[in-house]
Amino acid sequence: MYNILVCDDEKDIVSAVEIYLSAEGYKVFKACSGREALAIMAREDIHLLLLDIMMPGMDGITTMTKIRESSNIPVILLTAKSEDTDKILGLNVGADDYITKPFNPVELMARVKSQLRRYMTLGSGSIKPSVMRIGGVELDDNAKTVTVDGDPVTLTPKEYDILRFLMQNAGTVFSPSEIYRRVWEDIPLNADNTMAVHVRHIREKIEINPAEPRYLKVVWGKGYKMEVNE
Amino acid sequence: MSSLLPKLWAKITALILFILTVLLFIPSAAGIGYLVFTDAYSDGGRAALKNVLSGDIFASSMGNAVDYYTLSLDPGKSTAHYKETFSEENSNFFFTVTDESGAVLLKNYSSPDYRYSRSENYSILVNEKHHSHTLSFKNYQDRWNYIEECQERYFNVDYSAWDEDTDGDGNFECVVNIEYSSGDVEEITVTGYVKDELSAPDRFATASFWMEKLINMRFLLIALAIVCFVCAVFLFAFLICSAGHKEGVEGIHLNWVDRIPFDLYLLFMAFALFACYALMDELRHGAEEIIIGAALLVPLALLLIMSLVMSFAARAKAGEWWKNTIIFRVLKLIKRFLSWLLDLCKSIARAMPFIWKLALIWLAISIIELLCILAFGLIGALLPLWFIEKILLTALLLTAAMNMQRLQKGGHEIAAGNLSHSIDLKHMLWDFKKHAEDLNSISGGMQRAVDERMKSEHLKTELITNVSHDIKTPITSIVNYVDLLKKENLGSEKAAEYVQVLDRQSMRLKKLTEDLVEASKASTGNIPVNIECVNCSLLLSQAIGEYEDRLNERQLELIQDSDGPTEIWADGKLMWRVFDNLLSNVCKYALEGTRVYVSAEPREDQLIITFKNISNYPLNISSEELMERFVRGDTSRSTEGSGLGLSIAKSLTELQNGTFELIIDGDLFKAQLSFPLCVKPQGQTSAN
Repeated sequence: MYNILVCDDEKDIVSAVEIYLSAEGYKVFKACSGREALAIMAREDIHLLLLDIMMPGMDGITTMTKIRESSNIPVILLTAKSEDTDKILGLNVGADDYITKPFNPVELMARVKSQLRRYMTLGSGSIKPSVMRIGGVELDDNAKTVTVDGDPVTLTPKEYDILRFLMQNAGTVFSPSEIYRRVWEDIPLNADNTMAVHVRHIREKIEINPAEPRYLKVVWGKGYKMEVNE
Repeated sequence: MSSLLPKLWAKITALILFILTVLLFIPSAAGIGYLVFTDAYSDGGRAALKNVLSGDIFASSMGNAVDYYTLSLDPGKSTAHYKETFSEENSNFFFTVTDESGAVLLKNYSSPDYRYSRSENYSILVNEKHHSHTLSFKNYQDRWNYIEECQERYFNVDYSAWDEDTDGDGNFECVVNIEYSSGDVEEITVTGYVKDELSAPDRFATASFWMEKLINMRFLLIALAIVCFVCAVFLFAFLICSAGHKEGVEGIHLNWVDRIPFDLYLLFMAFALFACYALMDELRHGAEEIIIGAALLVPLALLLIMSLVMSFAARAKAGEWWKNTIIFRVLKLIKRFLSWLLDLCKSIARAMPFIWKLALIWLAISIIELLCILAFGLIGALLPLWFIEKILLTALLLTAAMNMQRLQKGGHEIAAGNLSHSIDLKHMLWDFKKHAEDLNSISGGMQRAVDERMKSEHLKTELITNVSHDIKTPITSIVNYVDLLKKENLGSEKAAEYVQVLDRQSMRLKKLTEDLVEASKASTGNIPVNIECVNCSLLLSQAIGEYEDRLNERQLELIQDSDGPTEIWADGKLMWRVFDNLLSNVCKYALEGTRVYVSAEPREDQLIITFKNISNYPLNISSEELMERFVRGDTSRSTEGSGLGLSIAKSLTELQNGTFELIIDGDLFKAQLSFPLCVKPQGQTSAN
């Protein structure tokens, strides 16, 4: 099975995370500081790293910069800082995902699985021309299927159409009326409310934490957009 | 009666009747006047009748008699016409023409009985010859003398005079063309008589016939005049009362005539009445024309006057009739122009720096003084002294004004919050300098206080942020282990219940810490704000879409209503957090099964966003208190929530230059936000 390294100065958190990960069948290595984590990384074949940012001695950001010199394994940051700037900094220096404390164990597991699946199974898979992929979201227009990190997702036809349209035009913000006009091919009536509900449903299906979406983002007061590939 | 007032037919009938009664009243009043003037009411009309027979008709008959005699002297002319006219069958008038000795020269007939006779002397021209010639004189005096001489010697002199070079010598002569008659003057006496019995059908008979009729009717006439007068007054009153009333219209109705500016209408009416009068004047030469003219023009004039009076009555009833006049409008325009001029002067004065104002006033005073001095002739030794005094005072005044301006600017800067501004103390006069130093030390003191305050606020935020970071780590452990406990088989039902409580409370603790950090950052402005033009109606739809399930769960029916432009200057992300807090509040505290209203409507240059819901708990605290941190609608604090939501929403709103207001009316909870609109409603477009 996969080897996961959990690094946090708070032993109780490490233990709790270990319990969850072990229950899922992962092999867990524990570290209490950045230095220890680096030592374990050098010794063992680690597939994923859960790393706390605020640690005495070497902090999470420094540790990760060191790790990135030699390895491209997925790193999920655990952070008590919820400010956007901290998240952006973390992602910029090489983290694949982050999760803010206090975290929900279910969400943590979902993120771990998502990262592992993308890293191990999907990373280099050849993509068929009919397949669009953004992050872990894959849409096969021939088979009319959507998978998130390999798991199939059931979307209604309209939700599928909206998602396909947004993925085709990833990175562009569309107003609800525009999406309605392009997807429904009809005159938009009450498009704002219809779209708000549809997009929320899609988000609930493809996002790990729909309140903080990674792929399908709400641009408040303007519309919706699909993030481009990182 | 009052029901007749608005009826059109009643008005027209009354108008026609009014004109008729006035038309009857005028001649009867005139008749009464004539009868009174001739004492007909005291002597039964004898004097009046005699007056008629001895008046104009008698005089013209006498004239005719003279003409008859003059004509009879010329043997070449026929007098048959006069003979016929003055025959006994045709004339009640007979006469005798006598010369100075009393010999009768001419008579028609005579009768022993006559009512009235009168003798008059006439001078007549016999052997009349007509002359006409043109003469030239050397000077004006000669010409005048000649004309006067002709006027003395001859009759019917008529002349025209001019200057002309008649003999071609280059000098103008005084020319006159003169016409006159020459003949002999004969003195005659004509005695005229009016027969006692007016048997012939001439003018005497007609006049006395009508006069007798009038005299017979003299008492009836008084009654008629009184009746007509009373009727006319009543009808007039009715018409005045009915003016401005229209069938089917409540209150005063102004028709198109009443809307014409009153002075213009008055002018038009005056012109029309003058035209009537001029026409009447034109027609007064024939008896028939007078009657036809009066029959047409007097009613027309009456109609015009009545329409004027009624229109005025309607206007007066409607109130402020003077407003609908051209004079009033012109005066109003003038007033507006004057006030505009005054405003202009004021704003010029306001925009002018203090020092310029002072200099201008000083210059004006000095010029007036100089003019006075020159006018009173105090030129001698005083003038140089005056100049020196002026120069010194001007220098002093300008320095003081400059100092004053600096102080003013300093005070203004401090008031505007620019505490780093310090007043330049160079060239300051004693007292001004002291004041400037005081102002500088005030701004310094305030600057220090503000800095300290900022520092302490910053520290507080930092403290809260750090503390909550430290709290988050233990909470993570608690959350995780509670979750693990839930999965363990604890063996007792109570233990499972306790774990539930732990789970719920740890979640609350988590939410509380998050809200605390957010509230602290929002209230100190420690959040990046990115103001742009966002569509608020779309944002509301998006936010409501996020809450759809939670609203359905509580059976809350949300009614969204937005009208007009809803683009506002705000930060979309922060707006979502404001709406997030408000909607979460609604889900927590609205009475289940009620309706929630969310509306966005533009008012002037602001968009007013309102959330309205019925509270689940009695709101017996003020809206100010409700916005305080940690204060919650339910005093028992039994529900989820930190009590920070409204405080956060308010702080975030204010960070985006919006206003946030809570209104509590019984159980109705109303949150009202206002944000500046991107596009002003009147079409002014701001840069986007």
